[in-house]
Amino acid sequence: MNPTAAKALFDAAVSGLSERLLQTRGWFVHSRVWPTVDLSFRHSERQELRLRLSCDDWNDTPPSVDLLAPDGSFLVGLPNQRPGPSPIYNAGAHPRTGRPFVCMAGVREYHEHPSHVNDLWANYKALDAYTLGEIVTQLWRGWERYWP
Amino acid sequence: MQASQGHQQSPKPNHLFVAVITTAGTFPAEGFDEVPEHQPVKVELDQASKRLGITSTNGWIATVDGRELNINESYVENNLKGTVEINWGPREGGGGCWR
Repeated sequence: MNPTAAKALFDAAVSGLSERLLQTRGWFVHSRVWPTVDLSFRHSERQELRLRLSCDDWNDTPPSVDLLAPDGSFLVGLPNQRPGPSPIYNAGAHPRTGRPFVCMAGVREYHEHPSHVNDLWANYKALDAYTLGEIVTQLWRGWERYWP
Repeated sequence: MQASQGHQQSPKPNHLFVAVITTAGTFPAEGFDEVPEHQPVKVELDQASKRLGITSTNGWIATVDGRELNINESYVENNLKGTVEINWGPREGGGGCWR
């Protein structure tokens, strides 16, 4: 993706994160400056999760997602998640980063993982559920469902 | 969000105030729609998708305060009243990275 076009797509996407949406969902944006979105999910009954989405080459390439502690440091482990069929937050070491990662279509670590290299991002990128905002929505849904 | 705060009016009898929140925008753009309490939730979602240009909502869910709604049922059947902000978007997908 041409960097100028990627930045334009990124800027359009993050501008859709309205104050009303952020307030309703308990999302706190630390930064949304190209090519990175840094935000936290917060709720009084759940541990905070901070995520950093690196969106260079958006949307030819899906965002790379770092799982962070509230202070911005890398999570080196995950809390015990609530039971469920298929949690998206994987406590194992990702082959590239060596850290816990998000195992979900629409996230770079998923598509480059040996288990899913044949599940191509190209099959998702045009879907409404895989805009940058809706990828964040999916990450939030997973946090709501599984995070303690 | 079952949002009574920030919206001072009360809906007329047998109605409630509803807004649909997505990352593509909010419907209505400002404030809330006043809708019959026996209207299926999906009616408002359908209007939102048209207005916001969302064409594919397969696998999407509507939630209020983290609780998933049955969109084919009415607001009453979903135990909703007053002023409500519905979060609408895709359910998380994935899992299954084993190696």
